[in-house]
Amino acid sequence: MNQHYDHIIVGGGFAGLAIAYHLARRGAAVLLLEAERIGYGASGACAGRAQVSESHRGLHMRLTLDGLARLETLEAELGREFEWRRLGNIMLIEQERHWQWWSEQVAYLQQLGASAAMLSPEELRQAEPLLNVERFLGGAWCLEGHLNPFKFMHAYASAARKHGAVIRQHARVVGLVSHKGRLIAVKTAHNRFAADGVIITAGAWTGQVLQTAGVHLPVQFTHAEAVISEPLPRVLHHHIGLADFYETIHNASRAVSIGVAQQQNGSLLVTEAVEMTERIHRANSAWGIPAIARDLLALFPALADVRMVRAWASPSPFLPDEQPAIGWVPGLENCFVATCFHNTITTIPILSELIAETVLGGQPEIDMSPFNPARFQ
Amino acid sequence: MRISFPASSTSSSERSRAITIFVDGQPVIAYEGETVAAVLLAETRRTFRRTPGRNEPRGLFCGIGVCYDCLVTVNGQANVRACQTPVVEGMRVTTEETQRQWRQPASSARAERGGQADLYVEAAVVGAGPAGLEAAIAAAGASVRVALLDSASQLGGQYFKGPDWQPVPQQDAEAAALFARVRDIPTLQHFVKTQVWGAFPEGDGWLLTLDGPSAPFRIHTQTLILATGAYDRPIAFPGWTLPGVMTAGAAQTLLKSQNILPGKRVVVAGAGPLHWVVAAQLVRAGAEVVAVLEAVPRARFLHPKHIPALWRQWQRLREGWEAWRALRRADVTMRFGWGVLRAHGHEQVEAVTITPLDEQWTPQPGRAETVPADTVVIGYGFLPANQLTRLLGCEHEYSPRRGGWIPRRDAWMQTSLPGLFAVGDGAGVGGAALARIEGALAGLYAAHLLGRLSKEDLHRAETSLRRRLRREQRFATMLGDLFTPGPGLYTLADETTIICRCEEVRLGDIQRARAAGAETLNEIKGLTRAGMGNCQGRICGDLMAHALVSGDVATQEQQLRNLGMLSVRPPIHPLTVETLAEAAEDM
Repeated sequence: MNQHYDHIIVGGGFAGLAIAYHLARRGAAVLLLEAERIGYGASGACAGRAQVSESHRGLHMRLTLDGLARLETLEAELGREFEWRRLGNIMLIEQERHWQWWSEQVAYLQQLGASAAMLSPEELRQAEPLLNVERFLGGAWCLEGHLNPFKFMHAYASAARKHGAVIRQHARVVGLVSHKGRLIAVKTAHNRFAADGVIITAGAWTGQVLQTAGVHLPVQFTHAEAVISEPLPRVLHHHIGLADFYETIHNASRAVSIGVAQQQNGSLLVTEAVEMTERIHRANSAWGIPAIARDLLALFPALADVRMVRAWASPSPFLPDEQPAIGWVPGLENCFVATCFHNTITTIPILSELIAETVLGGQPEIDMSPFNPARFQ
Repeated sequence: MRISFPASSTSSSERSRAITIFVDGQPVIAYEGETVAAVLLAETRRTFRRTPGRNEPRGLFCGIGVCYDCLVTVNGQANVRACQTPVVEGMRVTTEETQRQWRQPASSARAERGGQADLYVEAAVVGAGPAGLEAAIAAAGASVRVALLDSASQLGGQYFKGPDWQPVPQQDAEAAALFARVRDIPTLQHFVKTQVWGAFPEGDGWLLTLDGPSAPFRIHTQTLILATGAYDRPIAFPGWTLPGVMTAGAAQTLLKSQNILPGKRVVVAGAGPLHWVVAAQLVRAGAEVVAVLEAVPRARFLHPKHIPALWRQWQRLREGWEAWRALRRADVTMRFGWGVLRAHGHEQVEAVTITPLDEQWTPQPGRAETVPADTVVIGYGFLPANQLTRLLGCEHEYSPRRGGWIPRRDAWMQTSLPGLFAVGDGAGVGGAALARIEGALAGLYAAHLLGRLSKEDLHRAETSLRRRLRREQRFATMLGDLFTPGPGLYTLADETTIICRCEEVRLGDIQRARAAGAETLNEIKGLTRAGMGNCQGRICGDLMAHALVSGDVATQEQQLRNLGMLSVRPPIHPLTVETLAEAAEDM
């Protein structure tokens, strides 16, 4: 079988599905190939948090704030609900230098019109009565957003299908076929598809997929685990995270840093135990689940009797400079890559549209060149 | 209602010590050894809780700790399974909605737990029913260091279950002999009241994470034998979540282990031997059995092709005959090719609509009848408790005659993962006798892999087992041929019928998720929350799958394969934050 499309997208996570929607909406013939099922990677194993607080200054911040605004109307645009709501995030701060950094960040967020504030321990106690505040100097609060990641993906998927995109699940790409610096076909186990352009949005698997065309992109990944509780009456009012998250997990072979929010159904979703790994897998570990429970208990001693009902785990991709790769793949003139995002849920509504415009030959108003994958050449 | 014992009954008729517990503030007499569920039912309280989403009443359903529907608050701790919690003097049980209390953790929790954190063995056996007992005994008998684990408070599983007010003597003697062997073999350690909450590959072996009063936090083992048994196949029909609808396993556990009459006017519906036996037990215990409904038409039982499979199954034939005779003597209505259509009632079952079925078990509601009843017992066979083989990623195949998804195994009951065995009903429903032989074969082969049993000794031990294995497989095949549900059984639910009892997801929600593009059970789970609750899809998984297929039997089987299995995640039973935190390792 040899079918021809305008664009083939490899990977059915947030990015691939949103790009499929924007391309299809503009009339392109789109095929999306997903190796397993929609959201099998990090997109389906995330807390649903539309992050704002930690944005880097400049381009990231612009994408984040524009994205946040876009999310407000996206359910109507896609014709599907995905449980979008505004939710505050509190970063708990233990060290003086973090207090300093977050004070500046909060001031910057305020300057840009975001709703943000520094909280004293007493204010923390009022915001989250069950929180054990004794370790903390205070917290940095910012109004963010929250959604149901599965419904978010399916909203994009159904909107893409409505515009004629074809989404094939259980269609693992086993090879990209190139000829004279162009991709001429994408092979799955049983099929071979041809397209004018190919977009790789395979998250942690992106490196493997590109490797089949002889291109090296140094996508690395950590393995992250999360635990979910039984539904509870309202006990948490914000997403709670720790200001030293990145320091805690950076370069540690194993680390835990708690992030917790109560979901629409009342469950607590508690992230995350992180492990360095060379192998992509989705299995939970015997150490991770108890370690998350121990750290959660230290933050919320009153939740000792809460039952944990399941867990999940997923590879979480990143690049050595911890910036996304978004752009044309060097040496393959019709192959675009988009992976390793920051604040993925918040920025994807904007980025996916910019990517679609770029792929269709347009000149988007926002310059994404800082994310050009050629920087790893 | 507690059962008043016939004069001829055995010594177990004597009740244990009376104690007082408090139910919603009222003092209630209970007896040591009873579960909270038994005491509530003895007090004719059938509603144990109301659901958070739709405020619907719920009571005892599976009766063996699988479904998490019988949740009550015990001593301030919310969402405790009434069917798994023994009463103690002064216990405070709340069924009414209460403000959930948040408490500080007990600092002494870690000290209370005896034993070591880590135990290293050569073989771990999960489940101490017929298959697990034989596996542990066979392996430990060859000097393998074995740990045998079970979540119940006694060895024996669902099959060797006591105390019984009228025990089957042979079954009792067999159980006693097996339990004695477990206690006597020096290399065999067993841990009861111990829940395995996770299983992980570790090096060339396996790591189990446990929760139990005397169990280690972790067992590291070179070989792993899973003998996790089966549970009643749930069937969704309008009204099936009402208190008073329960599985045959729940009814039998109440009768056999708790001396509690599950109801006064009972309709028993199902397919296969168990619900007949339960119906007879209900009659003997003094219930009025309104009707016993067998989905399989009478003519199919009398087919001569079944005769070879019944050869040498004298014990079973005798039990079947005795059940039949007891029901005839009590003048119980018995209908073949009939089933339950709907249960009616506001707070609990008040009436049941029963219906004739066609060859595909599809209701023919034109001739349906509604009868007053307070209890519906459903026994439509079993589903394998295959959570651990799924969690560990063994290859599975879809085999409707053995209960659905089962792990692929070789002749020694080894799964696709070397050193990992699956035996008994949890690896394909086939009954206790087959389970015992499978267990013994796996135990012997594990011993051989571990270098404790020579090839010659292995083959010597194998010969007679193989002969019996074939006989029991024939019998299991016959049961599968006769009693595997026809597709019509899964058409009883309507759009508003709950499918996922934990998360209160209705059939209509599942159909809408499918229409929205979800292709597999896991996607439907993501969109609807069905299968995300306390029981992790044990109850709704099979129902969800069957609700989404159509066409002839062969087409449906292919569609069921494509829908796949729900993914299983640790903890495979809910555990408190505090319990999990205790097991945290130093990093």
